[in-house]
Amino acid sequence: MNLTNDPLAVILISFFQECDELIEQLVDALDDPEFAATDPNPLNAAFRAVHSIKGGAASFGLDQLSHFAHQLENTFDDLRAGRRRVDPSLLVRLKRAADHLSQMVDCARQNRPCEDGVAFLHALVAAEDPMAGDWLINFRPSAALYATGNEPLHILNALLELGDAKVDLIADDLPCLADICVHSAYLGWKVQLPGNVPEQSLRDCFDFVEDVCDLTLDRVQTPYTARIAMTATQHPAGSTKTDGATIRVELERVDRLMNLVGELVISQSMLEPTIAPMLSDRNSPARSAFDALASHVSDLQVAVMAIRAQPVKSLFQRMGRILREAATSAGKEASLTCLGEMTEIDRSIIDGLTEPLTHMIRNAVDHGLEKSTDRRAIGKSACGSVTLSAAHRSGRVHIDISDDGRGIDRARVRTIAIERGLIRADQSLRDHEVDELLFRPGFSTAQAVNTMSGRGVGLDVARAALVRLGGRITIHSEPDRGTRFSLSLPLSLAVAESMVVRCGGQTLLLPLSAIRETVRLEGADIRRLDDGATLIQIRDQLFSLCDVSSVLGLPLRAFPAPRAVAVLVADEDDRQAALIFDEVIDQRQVVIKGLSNNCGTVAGTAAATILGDGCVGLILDPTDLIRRAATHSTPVPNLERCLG
Amino acid sequence: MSIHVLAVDDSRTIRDLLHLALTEAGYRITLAEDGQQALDLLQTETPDVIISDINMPNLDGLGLIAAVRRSARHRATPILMLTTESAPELKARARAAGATGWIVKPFEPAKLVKALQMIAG
Repeated sequence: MNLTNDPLAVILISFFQECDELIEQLVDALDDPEFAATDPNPLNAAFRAVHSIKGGAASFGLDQLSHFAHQLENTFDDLRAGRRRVDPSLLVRLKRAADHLSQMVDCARQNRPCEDGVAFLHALVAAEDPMAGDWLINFRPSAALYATGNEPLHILNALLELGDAKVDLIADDLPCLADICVHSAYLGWKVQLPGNVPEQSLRDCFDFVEDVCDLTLDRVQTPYTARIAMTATQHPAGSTKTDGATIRVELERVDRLMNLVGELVISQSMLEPTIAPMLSDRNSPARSAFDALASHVSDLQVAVMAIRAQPVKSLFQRMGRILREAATSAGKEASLTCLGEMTEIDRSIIDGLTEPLTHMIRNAVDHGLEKSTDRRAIGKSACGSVTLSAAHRSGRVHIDISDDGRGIDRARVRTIAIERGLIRADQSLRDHEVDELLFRPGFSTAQAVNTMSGRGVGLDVARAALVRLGGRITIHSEPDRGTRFSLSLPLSLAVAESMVVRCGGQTLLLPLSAIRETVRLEGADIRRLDDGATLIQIRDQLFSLCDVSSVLGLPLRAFPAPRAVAVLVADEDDRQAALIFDEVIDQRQVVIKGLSNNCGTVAGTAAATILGDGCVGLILDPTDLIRRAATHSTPVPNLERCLG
Repeated sequence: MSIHVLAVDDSRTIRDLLHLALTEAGYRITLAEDGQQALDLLQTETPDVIISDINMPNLDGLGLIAAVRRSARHRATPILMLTTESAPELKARARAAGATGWIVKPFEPAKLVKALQMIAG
């Protein structure tokens, strides 16, 4: 099409300009968090934009463009009419389609051929809404269906060819044999088919029988975030489960169940010592009954935890929008990559992660990523990359938020910290200590307070939120390479496999996930340094040795107990230290009860549990203990007895 | 064993087309020129499915359906009507007479086979 001498050319140029504006409106509408939610305005704006492009393109004979816009318009219309629902996956496809529309306009403007976007349309229309509910077909033939020579079996077979179908016979109306009339119809079928099967294909199967049967076609509404597998026992936490039949359950009911299971575990452990004499004989009926009870309680606990476990996918998907908003407002280009989206974690932890994760994503865009021009200048791609990844490691869930930005400007952090009086001007700090300053309350390196991550809400708040979840956060940064925040979270807030230890007359619990090794203190190779720090050698390696009694302020013993042990613990950065306990008692699953609500933060502890005898036992926080062991390495009293 | 089709049409061209399409698709086919000839054949033959035109001399399609539905032997045999237009009232009359399904002429072989699968497996 050559329009240079055409009077239409001028109008066409203004049409393309209009297209640019319309596409901008379309993209804005798609980025609006309210898109297709309660506020109809963004959806209406998107519809109007593609509608105008379609109309204009058609009048200039730009068929390809017009056709593509028309298909998009249909999709928006379906959304407006409630025939389809917006889900994160559709939103991503719509955004890509908007990008393609923009390319098509550019191609038309430059009068060059363009991909026709069939693949995009296919993704939008044919592979329709993979998260839409499955089809549920209710098919009840009447007597006339059989009388006209139709056969339900052939129709069911035709349905089976459309996709993985689940067929259930409805035989409720079937009378007893003597009462059956051969000319009557008694049976019906319920067929469930994947939501991506086009409705027309379903209708085609019933072409000949529409007038001689009762037929309903419905969508089973099972939004992804509310899917709770009923077959929980077959899918322990951490496994990737297949979509089975699902029901919606109020979270509160699951929580109540979880609490009851916790109480049951406690009751069981309280029962055990009282009936201990009956259990001593391995072959006694009481023993086998108790063993069965213990095994069922443990299975029940796993099953209930699996109900609450959910993939982090929904959380990660929300972060995509946060990233785009932050990037737009900061005038930067950024893309989000998500890894390990199917990693499962307790629902309440997912809920609690939204806020800190949102903050860290914004932080990565605002402070981590450079502007496109700056990135190009140092040979990086114009678009900054932020990666969210999740994985199960050593009984915990690890979530990393990393960016490929400029890294932490440690000199500036130092200057600000001095200005704010956080450190002394002459204080020498190692890199990781400088990085830690970012977590100090009130610290903010933003030049100006901005709407996104600014105004006083710093990383300290994000860290506090994580700590409330039993999580920890660490930071790694390299100049010009980027920054990584690593979060470590418990799988569940409810239980922990723990070692039961005694120390200073107290029964304490040490999470098993943190324990590397246990050695007898007696005869161990213990060295004392000049500055008072104590070290223990375990297989060629030296570790700082810390007496838990002194850290926790428990009564100091005259000398280490005869059965004292050093337990080598490690935090998620693999910083290790050996902790002295008087005695190791047992290993068991304990139900975690919050501590901070009752008595504030207690040094070296994370939570509490109720022990078999009904007493409260403190659950130790290895990371905090290691930190304390390293910073104020208290001399271990009277070690000479051991050293001797 | 292949599915046995009795195809009834007074037009030689249509009979030839049906024969070609159905033989290629693996069906066994018997042809009749009108409703009466079809009824005569049904004295001895037991087809799995009948395809029939509507407008035919001697006995038309609707008459043939009615006769088939009355017979004890063939009462449940599926019958596919061949219609020249998709007139809804004709469909309704065929359905009232006992037709199982219908296909509009001129038919595409693939559509014919699909329709046959839907009523005869």
